[in-house]
Amino acid sequence: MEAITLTRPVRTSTAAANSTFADAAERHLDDVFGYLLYLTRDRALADDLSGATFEKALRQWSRFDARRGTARTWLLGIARTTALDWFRSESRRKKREQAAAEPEAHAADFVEGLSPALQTALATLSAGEREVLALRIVIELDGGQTARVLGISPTAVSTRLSRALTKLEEKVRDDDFR
Amino acid sequence: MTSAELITELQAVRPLADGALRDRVRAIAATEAAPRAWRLPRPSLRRFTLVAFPATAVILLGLAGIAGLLDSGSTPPAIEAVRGGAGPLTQSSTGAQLAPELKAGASAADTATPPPTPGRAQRYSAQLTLSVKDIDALSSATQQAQRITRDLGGYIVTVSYATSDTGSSSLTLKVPAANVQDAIVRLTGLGKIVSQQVQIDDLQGQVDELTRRETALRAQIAVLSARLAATDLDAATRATIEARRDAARSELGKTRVARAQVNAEARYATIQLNLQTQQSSVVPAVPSRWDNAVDRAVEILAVEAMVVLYALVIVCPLALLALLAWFGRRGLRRRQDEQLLSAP
Repeated sequence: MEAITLTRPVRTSTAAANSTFADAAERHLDDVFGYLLYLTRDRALADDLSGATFEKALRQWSRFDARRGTARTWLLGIARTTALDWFRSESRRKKREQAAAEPEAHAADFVEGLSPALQTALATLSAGEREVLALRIVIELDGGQTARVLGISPTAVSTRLSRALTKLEEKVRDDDFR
Repeated sequence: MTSAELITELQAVRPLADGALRDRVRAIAATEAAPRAWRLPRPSLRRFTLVAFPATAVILLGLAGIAGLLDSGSTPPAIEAVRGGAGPLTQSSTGAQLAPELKAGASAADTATPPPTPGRAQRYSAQLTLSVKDIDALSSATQQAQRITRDLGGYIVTVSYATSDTGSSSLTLKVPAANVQDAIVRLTGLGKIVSQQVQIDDLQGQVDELTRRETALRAQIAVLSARLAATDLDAATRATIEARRDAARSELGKTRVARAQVNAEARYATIQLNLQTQQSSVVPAVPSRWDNAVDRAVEILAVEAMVVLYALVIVCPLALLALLAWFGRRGLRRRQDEQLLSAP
């Protein structure tokens, strides 16, 4: 596997300390949406969860402390909690309805513009693998920020990212051979 | 396709929120209340802990210090008890509550004791308690007291002398009544007067009564002797008169002895002299206000430490349980999250 190098500079929210919630929401909406889209592979659901994320974030905005992290990391953390809450409730609902064995159908091209092979390969990854790809590669958080959002160590982030990329690479290669 | 190419492609196509979502989020953000010009910073737990513990320690120290300063005016009870136990000795050292004649270091001339009344038989008893500097002074004063007694024509009835950390001696002295004033003056010069007591009982009445009785018995004996001198007495009468005269003579002898005893008692005054070493070495120095404050503050700190210790003993196990429960719940939740995220 080749070395992973993120060439683009990582965006930071240095003005977050003085920014309003509206500023932060405007600036980081795409990041939150992108992360949720990769996590759920469902555009409509990502839309809903993004809205729920910002509603929750607005209620908690007074607790946000820019010295302890950027607004983007903070918003992504809330997005993850919101998504996990949804997954949890969804899991309970499925158990109640005994429909857990039937996976819901997701659109194959949940991210417009990606090659079909990559879209298919992404769909085979677990949600956990997709979220680390989203955070580290798509949204371009650094290792520490990603670790903060996921609640794990930076080393664990690197490990997860490496595994996800390896798996993605293999899937794409397999798809190419077929 | 390599990992680098995958990354390039993923980064090239960033998902963007559509207009509807953007409008919705803007609408949410529009409900944000106007930011306050200033708000209290929310400290992190670590920062709060870093500040809270020293602040609490400073507050506890401050409270102990303030309480110590406020209470420093009063003498510690233990010291008060020791000082109180010294009693008259302490009063002697201050001289605050003593009559002028009993002040510490009073000169011999100041010891105004009532003198015996000349020409009357009196029982004169004096009790003196003096304090001397140390054991050496006690020994010297005891010897001098005996010398003074002999010089004044008196004698020593009893002497007891005892020393350990402190010392004391007790002397019972008999001094001619005529010299008792001189004796008291000289004896009180041997140390500081702690206490002094003089008692005078008038014996002149007893002496007069015994004298009258003696005179009457002599007269009675003379009359009986005169009757016995007559030649016309029968044997029985003579025997009776002789018996009465013998009884009178016997009683006269007893009366003489009794009068002699009373006179002897009146001739010598009894002085009970008690000497004791000063106990200043065991009386703690009166602590300064600062010492009191520090002592009190230390006491309060000890109480505070005990309270904190008790609180820790009670709180720590509960806090540990709460921490374990929190870690357990977090671990469980993470595991559940991992399971949720492990599905495609």
